[in-house]
Amino acid sequence: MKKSWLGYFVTASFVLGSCVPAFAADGAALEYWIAGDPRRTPAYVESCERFTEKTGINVNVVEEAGDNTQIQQKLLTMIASGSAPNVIQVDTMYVADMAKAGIITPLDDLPGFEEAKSGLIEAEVLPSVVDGKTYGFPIRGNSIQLIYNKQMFRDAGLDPEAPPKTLDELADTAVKLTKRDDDGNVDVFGFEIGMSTDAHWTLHAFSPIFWGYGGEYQLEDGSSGFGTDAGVQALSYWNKLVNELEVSPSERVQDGFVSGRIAMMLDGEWNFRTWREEYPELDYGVTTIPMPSEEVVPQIPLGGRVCVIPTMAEDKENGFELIKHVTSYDEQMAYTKDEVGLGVRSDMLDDSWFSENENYRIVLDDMKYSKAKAATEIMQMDTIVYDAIQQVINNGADPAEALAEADVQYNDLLASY
Amino acid sequence: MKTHKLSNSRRKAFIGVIFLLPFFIHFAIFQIYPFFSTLATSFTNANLMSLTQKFVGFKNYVSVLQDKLFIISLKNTFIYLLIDGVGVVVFGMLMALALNKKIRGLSFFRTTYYIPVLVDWTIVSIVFLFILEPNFGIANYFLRELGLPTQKFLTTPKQALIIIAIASVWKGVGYYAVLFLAALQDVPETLKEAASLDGAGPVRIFFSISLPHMMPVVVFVVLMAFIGSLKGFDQFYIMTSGGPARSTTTIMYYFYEVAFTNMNTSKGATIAILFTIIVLAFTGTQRLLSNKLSGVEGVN
Repeated sequence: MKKSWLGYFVTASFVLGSCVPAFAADGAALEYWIAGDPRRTPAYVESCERFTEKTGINVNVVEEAGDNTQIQQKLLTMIASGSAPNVIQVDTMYVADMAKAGIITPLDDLPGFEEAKSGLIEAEVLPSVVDGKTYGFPIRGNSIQLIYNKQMFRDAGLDPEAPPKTLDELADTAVKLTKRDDDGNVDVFGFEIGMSTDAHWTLHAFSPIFWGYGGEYQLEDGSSGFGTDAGVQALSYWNKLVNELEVSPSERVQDGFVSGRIAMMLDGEWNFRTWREEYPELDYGVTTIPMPSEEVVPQIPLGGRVCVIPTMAEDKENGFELIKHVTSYDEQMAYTKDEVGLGVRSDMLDDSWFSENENYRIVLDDMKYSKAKAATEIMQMDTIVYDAIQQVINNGADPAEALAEADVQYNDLLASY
Repeated sequence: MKTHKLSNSRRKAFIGVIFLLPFFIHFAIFQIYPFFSTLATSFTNANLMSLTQKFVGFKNYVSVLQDKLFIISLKNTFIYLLIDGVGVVVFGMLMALALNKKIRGLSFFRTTYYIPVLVDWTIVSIVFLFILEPNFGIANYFLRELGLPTQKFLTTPKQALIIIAIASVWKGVGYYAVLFLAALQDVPETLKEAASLDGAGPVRIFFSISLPHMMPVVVFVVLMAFIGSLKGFDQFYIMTSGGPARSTTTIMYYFYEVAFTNMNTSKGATIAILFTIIVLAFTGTQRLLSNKLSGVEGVN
């Protein structure tokens, strides 16, 4: 009988044991979660090894696989279950909501905060500031640019060193770059507006045009701002490119840019490494997203990752030491050179590496135009506006009516928040 | 120490329970507990972004039932069910009838038609996305070559749901055909021969002899096909993400979006509970009707 109970105990232990998260490595003093492209992992591990050499504190780097949403779900589930690593990389857009929910801790009172913060690009830090407190330091940043095929410019008799600067120029250039067969079917689209099945990305591409026309997600009184003139102008512009001029596909074409089906598109620096490795012949240029006029100061939605410390994490001071290390000049330059993510320090622009890597220089310089896609209930807002965009682009709805409906839905959502 | 000797039948029963125990433990942990946990969550304001939650009564149920998108997703789910559920049953039966003939290369055809069943939805979806890409896809290429108008396929609300349903029929029909084929081969040849001698044609033989004989399997297949359709998710997630313009947002997809993209777990739990009730009502009604039709007490 004793043996039977022992068997039950062993079985139960096995079952329960399999439910325990197995991320604690032997001897690790700090737990550091990283996320995104696994090609980044070796660089982050090496960076932590340098930290260990400097401080004597071991770091266990844990790679979390999946897209932004999946990683966020895992993270929040772990925190909800009562366990948390010391430092986590999270997507910039989640920081404010996590701070408001009390999941992450402010860094302001930790030793060396001001000095560490001073070198970081202000626009990249701002999304992590809630009620005057800073909840995270960016570890890598990005924004989106107009990326164009220089050879196609030359073939169309255009100067590849003079890409479009205004939305009108963009439309004209797209017309010139679009190629059709004898029956009028498109062989090459001059421009790709960036609509995809991903609501978040679609809003990422829509926002700079919307902001360029003077729009804001939420008006001063806190209500939805999409049905304003700015929203209607931005969506009408998209509609013109897709359905009137037919110079842009309604949805992103898989590998369209590298396969020569797309001449210009809105995209980001995260592609550069892949293109260098897999498409070395691709001759492309990068420029700031065109605005309604040259007088309009661009506003580009920023993206990237931020290092935060969960509220329930132990040893916050050493956690912050690690954050200071990974956001220091030397480490940020190391990540940039390894192409694991563009650093987020304004003083990096003076580094000679950027004069030899012009496209990265443009992206880093563009970060001064970065603007957080901050809004209440950002994920649901993305979906609501995405529905309106699809109604217009794919279903022939009137932009003003579609955005008015989006306003109703977003205001309902804001009222329930 | 007092010992009890178990009778032979009790010992056998005890051993049976021991063998069933792993299943019951698994069932309790991964089915019963999540169900009640979901039910409890649906009465709270739980959110993945919040560490606390409070009881809100039926607020989530009222909110979901007034939600326009929930109604749209219900409508889309039932349209999809009609095309996919009916499609796999009808075409599955036709395919089984074809495969029941004694023709050369029968094994090859049987294997070929079953292959789509084995392929994961992720791969199927990606292949369909390539074929149906509206500008550079193979489908429109052939339409152009044939002088026919090109189509927008998955990028227009008019076609997206129907196309996904057709893809689902293509992928799933082989499975149901195999079930029907097994049932067809179980029909006694003597009955069919007798009917044939009495002058019945193939159609009459099918409807008067084969079909009634196969009815328990037909009922099972219809039930499984309809439940399969209601549960469809991967194809919508990969091919269209519920768009364009919400035309492919089904309940399962909407549940995912609310609970995991919007992180509103309590509203997501409410949708899940309502969906469970709908599925139970649907399958219950269907079983009652099917039992009357097939004249059996229950089909397992």
